[in-house]
Amino acid sequence: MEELIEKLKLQIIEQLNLEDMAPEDIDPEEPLFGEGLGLDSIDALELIVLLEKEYGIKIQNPKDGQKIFFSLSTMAKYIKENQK
Amino acid sequence: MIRVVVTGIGIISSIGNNLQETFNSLIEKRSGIGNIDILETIHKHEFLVGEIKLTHNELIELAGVGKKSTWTRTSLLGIIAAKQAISDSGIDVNKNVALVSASTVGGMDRSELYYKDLLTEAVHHKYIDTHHVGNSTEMIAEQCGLNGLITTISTACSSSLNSVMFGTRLIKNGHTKIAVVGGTDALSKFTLNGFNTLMILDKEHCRPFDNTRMGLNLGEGSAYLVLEEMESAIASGKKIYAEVSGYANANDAHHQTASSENGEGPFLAMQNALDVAGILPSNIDYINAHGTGTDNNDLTEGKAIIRLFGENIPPFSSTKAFTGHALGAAGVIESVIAILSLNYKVAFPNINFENAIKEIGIVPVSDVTKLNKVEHVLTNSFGFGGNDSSVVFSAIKNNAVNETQPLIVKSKSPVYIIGAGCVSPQNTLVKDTFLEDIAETESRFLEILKPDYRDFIDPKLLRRMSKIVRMGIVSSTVALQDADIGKPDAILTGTGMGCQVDTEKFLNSMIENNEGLLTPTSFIQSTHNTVGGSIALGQKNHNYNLTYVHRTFSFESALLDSMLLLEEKKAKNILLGGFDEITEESWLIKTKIDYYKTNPVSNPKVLVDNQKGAQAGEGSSFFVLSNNITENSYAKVIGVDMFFKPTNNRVIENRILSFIKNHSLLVSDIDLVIQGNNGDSEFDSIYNHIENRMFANNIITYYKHLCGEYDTSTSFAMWVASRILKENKIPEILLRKGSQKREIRNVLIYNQFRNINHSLILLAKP
Repeated sequence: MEELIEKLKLQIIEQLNLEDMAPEDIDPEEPLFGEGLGLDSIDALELIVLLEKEYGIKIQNPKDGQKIFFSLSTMAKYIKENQK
Repeated sequence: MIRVVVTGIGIISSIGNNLQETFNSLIEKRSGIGNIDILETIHKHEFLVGEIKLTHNELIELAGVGKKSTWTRTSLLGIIAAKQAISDSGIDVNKNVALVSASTVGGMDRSELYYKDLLTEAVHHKYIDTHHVGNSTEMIAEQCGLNGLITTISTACSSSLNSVMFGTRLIKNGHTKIAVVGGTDALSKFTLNGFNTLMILDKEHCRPFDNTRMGLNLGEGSAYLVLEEMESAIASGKKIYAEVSGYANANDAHHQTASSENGEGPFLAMQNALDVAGILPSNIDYINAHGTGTDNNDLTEGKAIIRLFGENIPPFSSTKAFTGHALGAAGVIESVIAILSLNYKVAFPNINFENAIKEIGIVPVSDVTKLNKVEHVLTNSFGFGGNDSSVVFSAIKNNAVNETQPLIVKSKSPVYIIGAGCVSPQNTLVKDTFLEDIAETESRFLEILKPDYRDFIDPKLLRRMSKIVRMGIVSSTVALQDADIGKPDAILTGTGMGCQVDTEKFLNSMIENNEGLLTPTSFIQSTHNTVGGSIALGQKNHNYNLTYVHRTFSFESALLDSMLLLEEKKAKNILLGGFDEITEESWLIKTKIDYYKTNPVSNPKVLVDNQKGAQAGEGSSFFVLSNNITENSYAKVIGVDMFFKPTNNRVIENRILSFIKNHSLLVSDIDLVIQGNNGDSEFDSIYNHIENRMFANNIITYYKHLCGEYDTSTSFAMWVASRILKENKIPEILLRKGSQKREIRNVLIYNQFRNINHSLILLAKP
């Protein structure tokens, strides 16, 4: 899990072009959206593509993203559970 | 007051190739949405679209144009609809008829087919110049023989409703007597994949305003209206479809693609359009809603309708389940449908509707419904960048001809430039120096001196912004600070090629990944009104916000609109800007057709270079315009003019001469002429001719060795002219001929693009 979270940090920074961010700046429990990292609905769509591209997981309804991408750890958990 | 009416209609979409077929489909509830047959895409069996079932060659046939020329599907659809509208109204096209068109992605339908091999296959080079959004407009003007003002608006999905509005205002302000207005957009892989990344395409038939709606179906098409002065249309006994009685554009200033929770932008657009029409919500008899079928749009549009109409919501429907969402053509297609409602006193159904949206419970017209009284109909179009527009069409009352309208003598109110900001390849961002230290480079193209963006833009927002958005925000911020204005009353922008970095990014990744695994950011950012929308978003500015995209008419059109707004007293101060960005790829592509020089040149020497083409450049210049003079005023804007493909140099001379005369000046009153010479061995001869024939005794300066050639470079020239007028000093580097002997009072900017688009801007000392 730890390893997956570290990998995700790097992937998110790259996918979302978070130039100013270092992996250690992202707390795995902190909310990614709104007050936390400040991501928005466009980023959520980017993350959906990231899941498909890197982990082969397809999310059909963008609304599901809200829960899955709540934090790094919920995202990692979802990947673990759904990766084939 | 001049009133404006519709005297001709032309339309082609998935529900019919003309007005009659369109009407029949609507009455018979026959949707045009179905499988993809014509567009070649891997999503062929995945999505439903409103596709016109005619191949490229069949469209060429229907348009009655030559097979040998280079056509995009977008142009062909536009030519078909515009020709119908013109023949329907029976106007004399030689009478200085304006054309205001609209499109979102212009010639993308061909570009995306050939882009991969564009650099290597010379046979595709003819499509390089059909890519830009203004191309379809120019093709229509030529095929229909229109010779008045031509321009193009590109504000995503509201584009063509904005062209209806702008054409109406041009007539009301006495700028033209007849205007053909509308828009055209063909289905493309680019938009299909783009909307797919946003996950707002419904795989079933779209269901606007239904609780189970899952998104939109894309469509394609084109429609044009002929607009004329009401008085002359009535006098000549013309068939009149409707009066364009109200119109407004507002900005949601909430999010780049999504509408705000309470629908502020849509609400303001509708309310302001009603105000312009001088009617109350209770006067509206039918609304043709934007109603795309997306979760977000229909909910917020519904909320905005409830806010404005309360308990008494008039019959309303979205007709996108018939036509699909034709993007840049949607606004005018739905204008035509609204006008049909007005004429036949019938509301067309919102097909596929079953259950009201839980949160709001409003119910659209779900069957063809006869209406007792129809005097005013409203149509909505909302787009990315929070761009929201509404137009009211009204029935002509029988007594209209007898109404005596007070003759309002137009007071030409002065327009002052009270703030300026410029990002360019030179050090132009600071006020204390004025082109003293020139950046000399031996390069293929000139790039901007990058400001420290972090001084101006929140790093969180910066990450999504390409160069053009960054420089647009920096220069507009500087201009507003300079004028000491926080939130302008309107934002008008012009860009010839728009957000090239993002367009290329999305296009390349679509081609490389064969339409798979695409992400939304670059698609969203590629929209032509991204800069205008981002500025509004940053200021939470809900005011009028339009983007003109028509090669070297783009900035001039935005300037013209600004002047109209000030004349109409719709704004006290306006933020006006022009910008374009250069990329390695776009530079390389255009060297293939000799638009740009291939070998590096040192920029001070570019003007005497003998290679074909210009040295490409980029930049962003913003101005704050106001009716009121301030201590900081730079200059007074006297006038702007644009003309298309003059037949010979004499026509150019006459046009420039009458432009100067129309503003009560003589050629000898022009203290300084700023010409757009760019060192293109093919086309600089025109400037040389004008310079020798008309301005032999005037001071002449050039500017493109400082900023390079780009479509909105006249915004840089206007920045230069503003500084010169304010400081009464011509920087050494600009001087070509003559020297300053007296105070600089009047400055003329003359620019032309390959003898196609010519423009004039006249400034004076404030």
